[in-house]
Amino acid sequence: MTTDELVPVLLVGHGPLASGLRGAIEMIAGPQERLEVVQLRPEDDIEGVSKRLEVALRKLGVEEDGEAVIFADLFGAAPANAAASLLRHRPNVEIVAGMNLPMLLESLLGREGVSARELAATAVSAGRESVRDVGEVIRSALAGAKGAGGDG
Amino acid sequence: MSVNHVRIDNRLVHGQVVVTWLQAERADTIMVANDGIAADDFQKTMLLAVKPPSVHEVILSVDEALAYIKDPAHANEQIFMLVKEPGDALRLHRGGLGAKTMNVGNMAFAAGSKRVTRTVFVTDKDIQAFKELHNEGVELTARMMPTDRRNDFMQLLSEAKLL
Repeated sequence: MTTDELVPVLLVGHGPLASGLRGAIEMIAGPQERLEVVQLRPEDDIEGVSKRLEVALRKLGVEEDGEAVIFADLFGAAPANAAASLLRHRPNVEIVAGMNLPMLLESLLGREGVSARELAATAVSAGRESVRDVGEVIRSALAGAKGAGGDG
Repeated sequence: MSVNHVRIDNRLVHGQVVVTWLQAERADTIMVANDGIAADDFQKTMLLAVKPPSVHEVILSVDEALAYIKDPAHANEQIFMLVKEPGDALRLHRGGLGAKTMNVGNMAFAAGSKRVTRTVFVTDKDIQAFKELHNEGVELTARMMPTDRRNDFMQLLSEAKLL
């Protein structure tokens, strides 16, 4: 696998969230290539964040018409809006808001030989499916085990 | 017999295993071999309820694990086996598991344990079990991720001056 075939990924969020997510991803799945992180600091304006996203995309080798997926933490908030503003001159960049760890793991491990558009769609459904009520899962499993005679 | 991988990891089934290892080892079955968990209905039910949906998972005592593996009914399963500590790995080996290699994943710090790597800490009892596994011909590696180099775990113990 050459790194050129991997869809470049950029994470952007409030404060240390994006770099924290990268730390968690690499703890689980090992070091990742073609992945950059940008953070919104309390003193930043949206233009400043957009500029840093531009710098990060260039660092990832993404040309003006190139593909990439930007993951932002919160729809409608400054990091996601800064990413959205890039669409003015970067038509092939995808932006997914509401990033979470399972969504990012699935996306980063499945970004070989797919388009940015496909990766964004996968990310959205993986992110949605990943939210689970653990208490409910365990309580119903326990109830099922009891009903089945205890040893299930 | 179809145990693709034996991992000594006191977190048992966790993120690294589920996200990277099962696929890398082409496993379709997770086997947790641990006497304590196998005897604890709550833990067993909980672990099974949160298992990855695409794989089969069994939680067995060490003795049951050996019986399971030797049962021809399970001959076609591609098993990823997890044990919490090297003492259990040694019991499996002596019971006829037949794995040529075992891999050390995470071993958390415990009272009296000594550091081998950033993520592996061993007690004197663990060291003894590793020595016996090694002397009985089991190759011991230390890989957190499937992409890691096949570090020789005995070499790491020796470098940490624990042999």
